[in-house]
Amino acid sequence: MSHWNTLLQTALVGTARQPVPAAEGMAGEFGGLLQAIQAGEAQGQLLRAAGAVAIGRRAGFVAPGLPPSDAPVATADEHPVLNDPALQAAVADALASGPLRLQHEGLAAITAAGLRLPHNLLPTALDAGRRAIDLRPAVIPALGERGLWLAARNDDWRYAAGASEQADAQTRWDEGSLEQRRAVLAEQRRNDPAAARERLAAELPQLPAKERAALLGALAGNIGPDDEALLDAQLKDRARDVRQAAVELLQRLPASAHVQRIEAFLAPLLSQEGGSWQLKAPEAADPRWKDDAIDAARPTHESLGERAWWLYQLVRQVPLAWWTTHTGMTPAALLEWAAKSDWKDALLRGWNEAVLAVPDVDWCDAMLDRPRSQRAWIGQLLALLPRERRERHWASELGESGNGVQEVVAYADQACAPGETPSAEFSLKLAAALRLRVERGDLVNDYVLRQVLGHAAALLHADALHLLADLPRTAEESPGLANALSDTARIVRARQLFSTLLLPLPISSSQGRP
Amino acid sequence: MSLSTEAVLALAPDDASAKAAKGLLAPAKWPTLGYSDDAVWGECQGSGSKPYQTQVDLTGPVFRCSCPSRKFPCKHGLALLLLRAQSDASFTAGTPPAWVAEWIASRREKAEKKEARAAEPAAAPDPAAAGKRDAQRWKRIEAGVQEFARWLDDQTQRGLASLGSEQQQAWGAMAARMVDAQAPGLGQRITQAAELIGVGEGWPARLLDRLGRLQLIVDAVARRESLSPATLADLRTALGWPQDREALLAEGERIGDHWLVLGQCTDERDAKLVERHVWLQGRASGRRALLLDYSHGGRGFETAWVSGSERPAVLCFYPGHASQRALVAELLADAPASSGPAPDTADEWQRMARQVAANPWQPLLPMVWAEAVPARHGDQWWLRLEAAPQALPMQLASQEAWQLMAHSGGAPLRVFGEWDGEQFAPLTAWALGAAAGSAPVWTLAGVRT
Repeated sequence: MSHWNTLLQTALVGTARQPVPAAEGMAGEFGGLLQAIQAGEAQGQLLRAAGAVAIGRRAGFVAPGLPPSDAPVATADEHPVLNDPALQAAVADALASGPLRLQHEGLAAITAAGLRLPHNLLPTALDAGRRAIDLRPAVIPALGERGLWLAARNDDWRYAAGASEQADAQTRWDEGSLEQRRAVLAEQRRNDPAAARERLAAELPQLPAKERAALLGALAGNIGPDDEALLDAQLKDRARDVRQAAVELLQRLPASAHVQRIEAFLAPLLSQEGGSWQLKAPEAADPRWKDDAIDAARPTHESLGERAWWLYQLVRQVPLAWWTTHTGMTPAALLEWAAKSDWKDALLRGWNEAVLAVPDVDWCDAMLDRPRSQRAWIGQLLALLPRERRERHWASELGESGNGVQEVVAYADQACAPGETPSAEFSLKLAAALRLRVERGDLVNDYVLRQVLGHAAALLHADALHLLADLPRTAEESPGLANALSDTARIVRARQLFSTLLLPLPISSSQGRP
Repeated sequence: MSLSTEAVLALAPDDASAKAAKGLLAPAKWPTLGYSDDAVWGECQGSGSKPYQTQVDLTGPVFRCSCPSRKFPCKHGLALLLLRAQSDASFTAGTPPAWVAEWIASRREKAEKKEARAAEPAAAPDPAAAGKRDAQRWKRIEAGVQEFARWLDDQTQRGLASLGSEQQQAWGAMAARMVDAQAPGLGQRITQAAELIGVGEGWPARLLDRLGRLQLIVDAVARRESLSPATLADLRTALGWPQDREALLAEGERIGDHWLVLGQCTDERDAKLVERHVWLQGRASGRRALLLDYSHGGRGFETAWVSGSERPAVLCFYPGHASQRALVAELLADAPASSGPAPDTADEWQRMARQVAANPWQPLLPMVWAEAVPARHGDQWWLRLEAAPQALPMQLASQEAWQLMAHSGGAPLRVFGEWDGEQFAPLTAWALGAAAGSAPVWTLAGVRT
């Protein structure tokens, strides 16, 4: 045992019970010193010896050995780093204090310009992606090789720690994160749908439920009758999420056996009596339903009655077009008819889910033209419409005098995915309406307007930004108001900077641009 | 001199100031922005009708602003340098306007006066009176230390294993007793030792190490008559005996050199007291120096140092063996650059051993590792040294550690930091083979608590 350890043992037990140990086997000057201490004053003897040894240990410190590192050195990256100091600062600021749309725009601009994030921003960007799933598709391509290397070292960043982005599709499929595998599948689906389907079919049996459902969703691109067999088999999956994903995909195939079966269940319930259509709910559960992912057992907390529950499940699985062809009514007429039906709740809920599963623009329009229901639902519907058709609804909500500007910005915020914006023309209208309200002094008392202003600064088309720049400031601003205005200015300035990254290109790569 | 965004943000007295400064970056807010060789200035439109006049003397950098903020530097000063770093083109070169020129001139004049004053022989203090004061202080310290020695012996008789959190109060009282006995350095060491009790695996060994070194101070006080002047000076420093600044500037060892700022850190000591370490290395002398400053109430520090930059100055070192702590005696406006940078020491371990041998009570030692790789192993951060399998346990907040990892990418960096005998705290990192005086890729940010 080393002398230090014998000293430590005595120190732990106490010198009252154990004498100060002699320095055995210590030769030379240091041994002499310890012996002199031993022979000297009794008070403090143990600590005196410990002090001498401690100083010696300090001076002769030997760093512990570590097993050799198994981590590779990060690969060199052919993409240059974002170097401009102002842009670096704007991206750093966006990543640190948001909003998400601004973060997305900055990252997408870096990727579109063929650049990558500077090293010091990698941890912040990876953290931002950990917090917001929507941001991940923008974070990952901006990381570069260094960022992917870093992500692989930290479990919190596993979402990005797939195979290298430069690697070929096969490597990304074999070793990639879920996001990356989904991207590989979606990409292959565009060029060779059959090969993508076979790739997925071979993999499905080994995957956990969450990944089965997520990857199945990638079949939506280029879906065709050839996909039916695979999807039909998933109707019997153990996991409800997977069955639901399969049902939604099969609705895109009106000729599929599954859709035909559901239509056959539903058709006898709908009959014409005295010139008008009458709907009945099923009287009893049909044992064949379970092959089509219909639950006969009503969930405990379900608000629908048992028969309505059955009806609703049939309705949500039938393509919406079946109703118009079968009854000869327009979507608007059908909605009017349903409102008077005994089974109104089951019908509307089924249709709402059907329209989300397979967006149908005419149905969306008709639903939006109905007297307004829940705001959140309107936002979801608007998100399904192509931009021109959305903006018709927004324009009517906005009104001639621009009174509805707060609501419309909120809808547009919900409808536009990160990276999308309203059209330049409509953005100009919204920005002008907002600027008018700010110049009128409405910000002083309208706390909601303060938030809307920030959202609009991040959301609207870049061509409208100049209307939100240099908003009037006064000396008597409250701290809250000053904050709202400087946040808006910060966002506008950052976006104007980001757009300079895209200048040399005639067409920007961000999806929201015309 | 031109500073990077990170270097400017590192000058901010707190996060709120940095954030506020970032909000002032629209060039539209600055009707005038100008620069000359040694100054940057601008007028910033605030909420009032008259814009604030903000200026920075680049020889510091030293800030001045007409705003009423008590923060130093204020958000306007920081924003001005951020703008300079980020949008060069917004500034016009020219002769400084009167409000800038006058300030710069008055600063130069003050500096000259100070030099002239320093050249005058200081009024000789009354040696008899000083000697009497010293003797009184030694008497108090000796009485306190004797009591402390008995107390220490008591602890070891009962054994360290019997210690627990309930002893904290008694240790705190002993620390306070040492402050009363005019030995605040002992008080601080006792407090630090008390914090080790029961914390983490192997705490008794760490505690024994501290207590052993405390015993050596106790013994040295008793033997003070037989100590050499340098050892006596080290002992006085360890006891926390304040150094008379004027006397030090008059008598201390002076070294003029181009000083490379190896790194710096700020630590929160008490609620409102912030301690700053700035580590320098002389290009020609190879000498390493520590500038230790304190700031109260978030006011920040008057002179800012930029890690990785070099500055000609005369430093005045505290007395003692292998003394590290120094004061700036004189900042030289411009001196001819000497040839070649001081090479990294061949063996930091040798340097460390010599430092410990010369003065066993120095709490922190600076270390430069020419090729080191930060790594995560187990649940601890490590700095792998050169090609050896050896590594130093690294003390670093995880956010900072990931930044350092991002810069390394698994490849070596040149890393500077503080070694406390147990843990290495990195402060600065350069790319491998970066030229002397080049900007580091990473510096420790923020105030450590």
